[in-house]
Amino acid sequence: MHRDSRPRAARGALGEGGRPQLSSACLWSKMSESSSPIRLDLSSLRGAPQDVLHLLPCEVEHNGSAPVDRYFTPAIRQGSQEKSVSFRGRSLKGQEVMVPQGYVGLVLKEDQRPCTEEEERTVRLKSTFGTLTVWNLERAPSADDGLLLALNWPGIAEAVSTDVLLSCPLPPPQNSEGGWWRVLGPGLAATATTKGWGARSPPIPQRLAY
Amino acid sequence: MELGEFERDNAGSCRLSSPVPELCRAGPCCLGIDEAGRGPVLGPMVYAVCYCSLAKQEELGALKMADSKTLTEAEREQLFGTLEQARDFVGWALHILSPNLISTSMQQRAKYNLNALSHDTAIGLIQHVLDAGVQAVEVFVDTVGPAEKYQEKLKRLFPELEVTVRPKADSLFPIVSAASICAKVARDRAVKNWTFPEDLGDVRMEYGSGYPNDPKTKEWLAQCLDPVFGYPQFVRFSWSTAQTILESKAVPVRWDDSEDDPAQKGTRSVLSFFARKESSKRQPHRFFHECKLETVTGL
Repeated sequence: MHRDSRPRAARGALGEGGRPQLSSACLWSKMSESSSPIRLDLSSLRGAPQDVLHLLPCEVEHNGSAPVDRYFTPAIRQGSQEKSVSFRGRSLKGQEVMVPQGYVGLVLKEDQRPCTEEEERTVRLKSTFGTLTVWNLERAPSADDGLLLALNWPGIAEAVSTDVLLSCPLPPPQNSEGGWWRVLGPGLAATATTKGWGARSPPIPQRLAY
Repeated sequence: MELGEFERDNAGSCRLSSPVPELCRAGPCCLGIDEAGRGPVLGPMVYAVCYCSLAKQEELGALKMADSKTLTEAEREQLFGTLEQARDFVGWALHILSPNLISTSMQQRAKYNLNALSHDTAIGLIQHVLDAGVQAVEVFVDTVGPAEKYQEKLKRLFPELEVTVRPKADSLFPIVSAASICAKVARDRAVKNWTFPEDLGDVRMEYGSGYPNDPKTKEWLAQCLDPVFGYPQFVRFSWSTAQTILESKAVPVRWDDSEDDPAQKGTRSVLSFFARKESSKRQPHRFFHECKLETVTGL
């Protein structure tokens, strides 16, 4: 998922005679010094076609195109609560999920993988998506499903790293062993222990230590 | 017999019934139950219940109903026409189970086998005609699985009915023969007029009888196979015929709930329990684990 810069890029493009501001970006591999950067070619972001995405609850050992439009899409039934279809004779229930606001989904393709580890890798933008259909085996996806929880993260990350002013005094923390108040956003607060959050994420929010 | 309701959505199941004759509401009736299309790898399975006023049993005999398997398609259509004309003392109800419903039931997480599905469908049909006001007193059923057990099951569920479950009941009792004709006529029509929701392109629609040993059916199965999707919903994926072809000619698909993954079954070495735990790396908060979020540093 890529933070959408399109509105800004579009405005820039108007002022600067159509020159796109966002032409490429680099994803740097942070783990080892030896890995090469991966170049993400976003020059075609604005012209990229929209794709229809389905996330299946199984692993299909196939890398390539498949006649989704002929075999899968026409068989989808829209029920009152959920979508239903079958794949390989197994019943699937699905729900359409939006990409978090302010983000855009990217389908990337690496045309040729370099022969050595040192060479720079380039991935090309194939298409973009704003929604995807998440399918579960026999039961509809719920808010507790991994993917739907993961999509909450951008909102939570934003909330925990935004400065807020507290207008009411906080009660003492529940946890006496080094519990902190962590401000999650306007009117939202939660406790977390010192061991709680990972080192890199989320960005350290405001701390109110008692 | 109007199959329009089923044809509009042939991925599920559908119940169709004739109007209930006045005579069957007023006086005691006998019921016959049979199915068609249990064996084929293609198309729906159809369950039928046929009922007749006991006062008109002689007339039913005169209609010369016979086991549908001994008749040609034309003869079955003709006999079904005869039944329609006897509508003041004979009625019927059908339950069409789509191939998609059969595939997905049999391949459910909690397996639902074909015998259980058949029994439940028959039970549903008996209840359906009782609810419609038919004064049923006796019911004859062509067996699925061991006849005695099935008969006990039905007797337990319908203590007010006299239940007879027999193998080959369709050739023993005229009312079961009548039910077998209704079921077979509906199955034939559904298969003949099958509308594929899928777009199969150039595949010719000569799929034969749908029985696995029919050369036309075999050829059609070979022709319309897609390596990723396998088959259209017209095919019963749970049939070994289809599964064998998929295993050899389609790409493998692994489901979360499959048990035949040897990598996951492997027992951990005893020594691994005593190994020093890697404690140097800081584990992310369980929130990230629960959301299946990981830091990605490569492709």
